[in-house]
Amino acid sequence: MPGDIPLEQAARDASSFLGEPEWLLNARLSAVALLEKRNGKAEISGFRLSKGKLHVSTRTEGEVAILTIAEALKRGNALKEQLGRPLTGKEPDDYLLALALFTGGNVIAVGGTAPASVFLEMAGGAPDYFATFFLFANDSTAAVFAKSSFAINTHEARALFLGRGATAHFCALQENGEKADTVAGMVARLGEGSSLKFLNSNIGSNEKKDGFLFLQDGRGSRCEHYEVSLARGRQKFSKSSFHFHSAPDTFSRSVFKYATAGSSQVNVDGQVTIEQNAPGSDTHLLAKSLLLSDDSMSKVVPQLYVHNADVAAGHGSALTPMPEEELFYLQSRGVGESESKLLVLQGFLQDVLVKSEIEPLVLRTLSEELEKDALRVFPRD
Amino acid sequence: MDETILKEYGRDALLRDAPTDDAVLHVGRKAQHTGLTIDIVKEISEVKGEPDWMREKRLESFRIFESKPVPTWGPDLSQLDFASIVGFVRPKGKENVQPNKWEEVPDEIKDTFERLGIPEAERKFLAGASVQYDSEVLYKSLRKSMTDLGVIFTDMDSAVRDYPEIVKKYFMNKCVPASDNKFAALHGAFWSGGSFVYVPAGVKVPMPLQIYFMMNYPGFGQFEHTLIIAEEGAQVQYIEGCSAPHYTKDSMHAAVVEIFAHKESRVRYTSIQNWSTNVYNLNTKRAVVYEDAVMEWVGGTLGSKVTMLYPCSMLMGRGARAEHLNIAVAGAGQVKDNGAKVFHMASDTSSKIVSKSICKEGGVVRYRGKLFVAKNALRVKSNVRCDTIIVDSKSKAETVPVMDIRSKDAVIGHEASVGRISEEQLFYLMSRGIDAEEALSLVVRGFIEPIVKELPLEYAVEMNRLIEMEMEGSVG
Repeated sequence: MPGDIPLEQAARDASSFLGEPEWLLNARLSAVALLEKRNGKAEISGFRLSKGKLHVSTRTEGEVAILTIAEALKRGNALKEQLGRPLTGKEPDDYLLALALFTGGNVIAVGGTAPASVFLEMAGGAPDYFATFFLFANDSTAAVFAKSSFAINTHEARALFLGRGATAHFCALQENGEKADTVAGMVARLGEGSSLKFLNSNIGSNEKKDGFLFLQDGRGSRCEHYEVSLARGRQKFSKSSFHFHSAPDTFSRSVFKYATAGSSQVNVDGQVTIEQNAPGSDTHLLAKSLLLSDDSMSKVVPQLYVHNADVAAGHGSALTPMPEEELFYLQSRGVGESESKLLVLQGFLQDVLVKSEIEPLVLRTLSEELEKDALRVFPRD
Repeated sequence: MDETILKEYGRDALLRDAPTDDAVLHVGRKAQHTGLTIDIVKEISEVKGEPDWMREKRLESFRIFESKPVPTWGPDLSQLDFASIVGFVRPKGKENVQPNKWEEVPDEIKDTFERLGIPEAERKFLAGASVQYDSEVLYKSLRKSMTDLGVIFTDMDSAVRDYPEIVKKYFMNKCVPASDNKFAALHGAFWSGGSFVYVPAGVKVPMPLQIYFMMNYPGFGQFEHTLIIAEEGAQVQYIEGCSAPHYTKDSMHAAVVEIFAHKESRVRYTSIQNWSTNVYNLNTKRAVVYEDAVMEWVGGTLGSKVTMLYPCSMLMGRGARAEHLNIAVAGAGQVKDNGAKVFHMASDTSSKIVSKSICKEGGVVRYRGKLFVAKNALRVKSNVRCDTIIVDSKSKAETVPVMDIRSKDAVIGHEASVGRISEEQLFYLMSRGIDAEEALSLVVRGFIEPIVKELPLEYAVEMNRLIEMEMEGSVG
């Protein structure tokens, strides 16, 4: 096992390993600098230079290109235009770490104005750190279903760049192995008039840590973020989401729905900041938890920072046990106890899927996966 | 005690009146040269003639104070000048003569008194220009009716002397220990003044106890300590502060309030604070609430430069209940970092938190709350609501509620909203012939009404007037 090396050195090694241009090295180094500014000088242990065996299977329709990062770098400047921009300082730690150290990954580019469709499944023995960059060209429209099924620990940096007027419906399903600790940091930058619907759901994983930053610096951009998961067994989910409104008339909605069973733990940190230069912005954050067991824990910290008077901003959260009345109703209609609980739980989780208006087929897949998960907590009588 | 000295020199006179007059002068001088030292703590205790246990408590607090860093998670406290705490024991020096001269009181404060219709004698007291407000007659009759009931209502220094057993049992150990935070530790070392309320079992105090009646006691201080004990089945309402601005030269206040609501008791603590805008207001207020007892906090935080105030209820007994109501207004240069903390440690406990804030002219209001439900606390219910009116785009409103739930059948709700005053409501009122200023004032009154209606009439009237004044010029 390799020993400890300074983070900066590891970033330089990763960059020369991939034979990158200097601007990308600089992007990695600025990520290191920001991390160290936040957390002090850092070292990394066991860092391996390996492209891994990231297995990506895709099905696409419309003008979509899926490339490795190396290929994308040769093909043009689109990636440089986005990644070459200075960091905002708000990026999640996990994004910065994977950005500094990635040794493999993909670029998914969507162009044209006709609706495109992307199905992406990532599996196999990915490198310890990898990156996935999505580029949505101006005025493009895309529906993306990204599924990850890793049996090993992974650390991903994911970025979504939406051009002017781009529309993306993005559904991420993380169906990882029971023992895998999976960490992901995501940044989405929304250009003028663009619209992003982002739905994220976790099945599996031992410990799952996600950090999201939605940068709404394009005027009139709209962003909806939905999180839905059932945490069971000893699962530990930590989700932090940060919406940053820095242009006028931006709109954001966040909905977090979690059910906690077994001795699972869920921590939700939802932050919204509306800057002074973002009048006319509208935001709402909702976090709902359903507590299913004695030993599970739920911690919710919704935060609202409003630096402008011309806004509509709010957040709400609710933590509740299984609603007795609904259970009673179902049982009075002859539905067994476990089945009733299953139905209530499904109703609680499904509600988000419906709200997020994802495509019917993706909805079906997600519902089925969530049902399988729910059945492990409340098996049918 | 010589009444004339008291009138002339205020609370310092109380110290000067003590036998070790020279020591006080010495302490003061020394303090000005050396800042905060353990010797000064010792000498304060000696001057007050305190028992050994209190002296030990002060020394221990001082050690904790020294070992803790200034908290960095909240508002910026880097401008906080600990050296100003030296002013605690003031010698009668030329440059620091108490009371303040009426002429030195800023015009805006005088103007506010005028418009609120505060009586002359009160004005001087509130401006620090007099330490005594002649309510002796009223106070005496009140004191008699209280004594008849067995209620003890006195200042904290006397309580240490006269009721050492009770004070020793409750003072800064179970509720707010000095180790709680840096400012509580500072308080533990330097506390002085404040009130002591003891209500025996089953006694219902018929009228609110107001520190207002006790102005001739050194109740208002930099480190006042309030200790309220309601025994089983007792009921008491305590009101502190007043809505008129309280002018002081002190740069920091670190008060501690400790409340014990024993089984089936009911305590309401109302506090309106309106310190002048040079003050860092860093208080620790906490109640321990036992079985089936009810604790109600009603608060208004106006004035001051930086406020950090999170009244806390520890619901320790089954069926205990807490209610927190607060209004905060932040104007130019002010930071109001306030909120509420509730710890549900037993089953069937419930809590309700309502926070209403207004920020304007670059003021910052922040709601910071903590709700904790322990694993073995079943059937807990809690509801949190915080609303903010943000008047202009220079101001900031932030909400940071933390909810840590470890019990499976808790029902927890939280809602927050931030926004401008509704144009629709203003338009409606104006379309009925009400002018813009008046319409704004009506909407704001409606906004704060849930809290103001819980205040006694005279406070409610003043509060409304004060908020109206704060909102002046906010239209258009």
